[in-house]
Amino acid sequence: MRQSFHPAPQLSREVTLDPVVELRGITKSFGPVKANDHIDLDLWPGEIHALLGANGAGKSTLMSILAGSYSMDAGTIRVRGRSTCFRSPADALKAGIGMVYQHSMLLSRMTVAENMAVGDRSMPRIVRRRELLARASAMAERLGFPLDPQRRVAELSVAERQQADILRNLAREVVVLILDEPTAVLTPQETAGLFATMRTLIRDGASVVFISHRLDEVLHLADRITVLRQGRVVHSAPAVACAPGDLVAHMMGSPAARSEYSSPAPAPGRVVLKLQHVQADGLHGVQSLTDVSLEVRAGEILGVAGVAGAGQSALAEVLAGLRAPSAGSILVDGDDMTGMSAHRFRMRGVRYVPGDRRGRGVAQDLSLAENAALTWLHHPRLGRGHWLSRGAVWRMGADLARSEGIEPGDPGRLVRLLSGGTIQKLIVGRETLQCPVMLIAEYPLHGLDVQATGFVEARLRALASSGTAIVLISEDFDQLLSLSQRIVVLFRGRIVAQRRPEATTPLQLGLDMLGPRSTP
Amino acid sequence: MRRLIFHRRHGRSALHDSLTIAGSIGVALLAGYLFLEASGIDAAGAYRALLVDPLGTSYGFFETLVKAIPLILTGLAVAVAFRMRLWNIGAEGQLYAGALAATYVALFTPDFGLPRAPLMLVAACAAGAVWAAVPGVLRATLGVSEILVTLMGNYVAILVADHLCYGPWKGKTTFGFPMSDRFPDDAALPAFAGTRLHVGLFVGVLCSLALWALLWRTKWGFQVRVAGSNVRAAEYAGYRVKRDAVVVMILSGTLAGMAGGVELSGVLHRLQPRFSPGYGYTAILVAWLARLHPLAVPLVAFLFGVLLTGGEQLQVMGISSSLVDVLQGLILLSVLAADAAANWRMAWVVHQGSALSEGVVHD
Amino acid sequence: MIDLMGMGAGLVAAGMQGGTAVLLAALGELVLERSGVLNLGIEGIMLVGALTGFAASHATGNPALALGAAACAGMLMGLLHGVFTVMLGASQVVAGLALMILGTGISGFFGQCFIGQTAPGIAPVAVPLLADIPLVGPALFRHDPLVYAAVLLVPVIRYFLMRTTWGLAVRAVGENPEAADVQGVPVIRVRMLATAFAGFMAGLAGAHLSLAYNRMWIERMVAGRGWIALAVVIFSLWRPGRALIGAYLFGVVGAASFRMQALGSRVSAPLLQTLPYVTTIVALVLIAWRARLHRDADTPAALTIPFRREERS
Repeated sequence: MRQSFHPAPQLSREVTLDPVVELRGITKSFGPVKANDHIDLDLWPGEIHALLGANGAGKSTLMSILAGSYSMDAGTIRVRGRSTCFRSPADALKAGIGMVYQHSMLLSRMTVAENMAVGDRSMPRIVRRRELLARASAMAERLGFPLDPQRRVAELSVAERQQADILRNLAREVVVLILDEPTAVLTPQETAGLFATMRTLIRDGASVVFISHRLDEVLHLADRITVLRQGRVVHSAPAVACAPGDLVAHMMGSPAARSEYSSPAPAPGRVVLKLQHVQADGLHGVQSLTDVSLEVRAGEILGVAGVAGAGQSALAEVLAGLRAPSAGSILVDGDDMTGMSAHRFRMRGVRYVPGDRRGRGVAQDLSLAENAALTWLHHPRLGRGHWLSRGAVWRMGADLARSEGIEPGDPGRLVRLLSGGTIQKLIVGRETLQCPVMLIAEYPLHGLDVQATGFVEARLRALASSGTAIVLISEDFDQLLSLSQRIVVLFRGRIVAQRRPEATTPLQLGLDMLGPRSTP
Repeated sequence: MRRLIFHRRHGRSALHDSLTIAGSIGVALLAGYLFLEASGIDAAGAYRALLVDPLGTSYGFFETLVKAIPLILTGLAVAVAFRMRLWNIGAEGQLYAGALAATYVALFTPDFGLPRAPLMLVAACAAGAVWAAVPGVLRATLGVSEILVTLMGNYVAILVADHLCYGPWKGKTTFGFPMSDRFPDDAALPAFAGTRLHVGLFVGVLCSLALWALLWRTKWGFQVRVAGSNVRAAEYAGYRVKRDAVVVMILSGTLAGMAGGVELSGVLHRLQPRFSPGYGYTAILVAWLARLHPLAVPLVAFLFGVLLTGGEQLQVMGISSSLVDVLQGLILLSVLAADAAANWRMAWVVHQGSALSEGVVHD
Repeated sequence: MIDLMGMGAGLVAAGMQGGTAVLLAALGELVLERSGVLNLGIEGIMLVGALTGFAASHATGNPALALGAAACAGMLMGLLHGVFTVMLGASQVVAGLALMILGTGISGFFGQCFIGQTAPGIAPVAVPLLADIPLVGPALFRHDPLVYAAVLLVPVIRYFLMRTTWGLAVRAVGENPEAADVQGVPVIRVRMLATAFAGFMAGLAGAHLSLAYNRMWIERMVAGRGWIALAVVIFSLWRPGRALIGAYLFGVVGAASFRMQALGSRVSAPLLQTLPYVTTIVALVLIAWRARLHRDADTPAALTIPFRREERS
């Protein structure tokens, strides 16, 4: 059965002539970070185009620009040879470009069929449920999705949500479908199903952009591969011409960087943290940690790897006392801390650098100095009893700004006005003001510029060498391999692998993150 | 193709803030002037009564200060609640609750041998605290909208006061008017010779200093300010946010209740139905224009005291005192507009086939 | 016995009469909140609507025209709220309070000369045949047209929200504006239209008070009904059918307290008048209790959260 979602014949005529989409000189900055730096990219009809790159390479940003949900600072987009300007996702959809975002952009209280109708102005004003359902069922069947369009999105599994998201894009007759890390949350079987869907789509003449940082999938599936690193295109070629080793090199940067992987000799200190069979429930009753047991010793940096949503944030919250485990126990320096408050954890010397810097790590309407005092309120240095000494807070801010090299170092400056990197320096400096017993660092380097990255890395190393047990949560192979002495890999809330950096490769780690399955 | 784009602008200095507010009050007054002219009223005369007389005559000036006292206290009440993003719009009801408790102490308790005025204030604070604690607890435990519960509390408190004035507490010496008897002399706050101005002014200013110290000089106040800025950060830091929310509501009710006690004890010396010209609502403006800062509250309260005193003058002239409400609404709206304009730097940009900046507002 | 039933019928009739203004305002606010915007200024808009309706009827002698004028005045106030909250992103709470104060002021100011005046009101219309049924007829079928219109609007709005693409867009914007935006819904436009609609309905609601329920202009005559409408929306769990129940419940409680005064109850009039407000608080508590147990409310997830694309730095 061969059916198309758009006038295929016309399209196939264009196929041989021109690219569907031409991106030229796309540039986009978030504050000091250049997410995209003069990127050129062509998409041809009927191809699967893989965008490969490490975290923060600019893949999602570039595609969000193409899908109209981000604006660009400079550059041009041509669709079928015509220069266009997308002011909104609606414009992009009209031009036939749709995107399945990493975090589902569906309306979870509505049914699948309703999601396929929302925002579609070609729909009749009165929703005829039966017609809507018929259309949705027909499309689902065509792609082989066993999806009941009458179900609410909230009730769907992650894989079903993705299918629904693909359906809602196809309902708008897109000719370019962008999939942002679609396999991150899928089982091997589901991934195979998704790949089959993608092939169906290109057979019908559409083009698919497939964002990933997984080599095996990309090599297996893509017609063409473009590698981004630090906001630039570093490689673009047909898949058949790509060797896995070269791609890794392109993704990771110069091989010279790898000499850093030689981690300092593990100092076998005492066991600081001991997690035993910890279980934690996530939102919506989904279990987000299952039977996690691990140990971290003084002076050790334990890396925690995993794809997005594999249970990292639950682990961080459990370790910081922000979330009580539903089963299992947490021991810090031999004391049972299970079920204790975040305050108790902090008093015990457990410090936490949260991943959501602005949203959780600071109060943006308060000054730099006040944010420096945020987690030190109990400290006698800040005032006796219930009193708070303004001078002491001010000095704390000034000291912190000086010792961490925060510019501008005015302690009265509102945190809202600081850049992301500066805020991270503030948080890291604050949490490590006194050498903590244990530090949980959640994505501590994400989105930082080179200088701030170096600062945070150096700090983590220094802390470890003075005896702090560190849990480093990251998605970045480079960081994990260069900083940690041991790496555990989380997959769906479970620890599925343990590696030593000197005895593993990025490729191996990448495979581990996909969960227990056969190596290619 | 040209289009309007908006850049987000962060951070404002205190000077910039004051100028913004002064400017928007000016714009609102101008709009009010045109509004009066358009309705065929002698706008110049009305404005003279509204703005000049309260400041230019000594009677007007003292009367303005008298009106500012309850505005300071209720303004502080609203400011502390709003600081933690608890939308207590029930200062009016809490003020009445305080007034009722004060009346009870003044008229119906045996003589303890102590002056009644301080006891009245304590009772008023307690009643206001209880009146605000109910919505506070409901909010913290069940998530019931504190906006609606505090607002309903206003109507209930005012009607209860009506009930008491028309019924059980109706005075024997009031010639049938629905109000309580006059309080005994020891129930009155000391007044300044020859004026209606009483020591409540000091109470208000002291409360403003105390609240400032509480918020900026104690660890608890620090926690409240953090929670008001970012609840998740407060939770991350291990503060007890829900408990603090209830305490803040109680504190807010205490201040508003005190306003009721002070007003009866210092000015009216008896309970009258509907004695407040909407102090608790004007307090919202006072707090917002003071940027929720306790030290700025007395200043702004004075400005609005002018407006309320002027409103009474207007009635003498036969102009509806509702003009005061109109002006208040216009002032609040123009401050909001000015804030929006300050947050969003607008610029015309020539469009060249590509989107140029963030936060584009569609035409 | 008959008399008791007659009283019951009278109470129902009075409840419908008294609840209609709340219902109209609540229906408008319900649609608005479904789109993610909270308008706390309903009370002020109703006051402006009440005065505009009364004044227009006084001037033209045409109550139908007056209704239109009131609705338009309400719509303008609603749009004003929209400009501040939706377009400028100002605090919905503060902008709503400003609107309440402004509406109170404007209506009080211009209403001064209408106090004690009369204007042609909206007369009750007996539904042929049905009105003659004993008890039921007087209770349900001898009302003014706005009462019927409000009842009819309940299924219409339900249908609009659940069965039209417009309603779909409204719900989408209120649940997750980012997702709605990605799916091509013009978020700002949808929300602006919703603010206009809520203002329109609040204006009508006010006019019902001054042209049908009271047939005169009294300063601050809305007496908290705008706030009760807001409570009714919460009580309804954002469903039109339950809003009808909530609004009529308010009407019946109000009518009952009024009747008890008339019958010479030992409880004083002001205390009886607190009943609707106390009932509202109790209802809010009960619904919050229930919502905590069930979590099945259609609470718009994005309520009071302004939308702006690409908030990131």
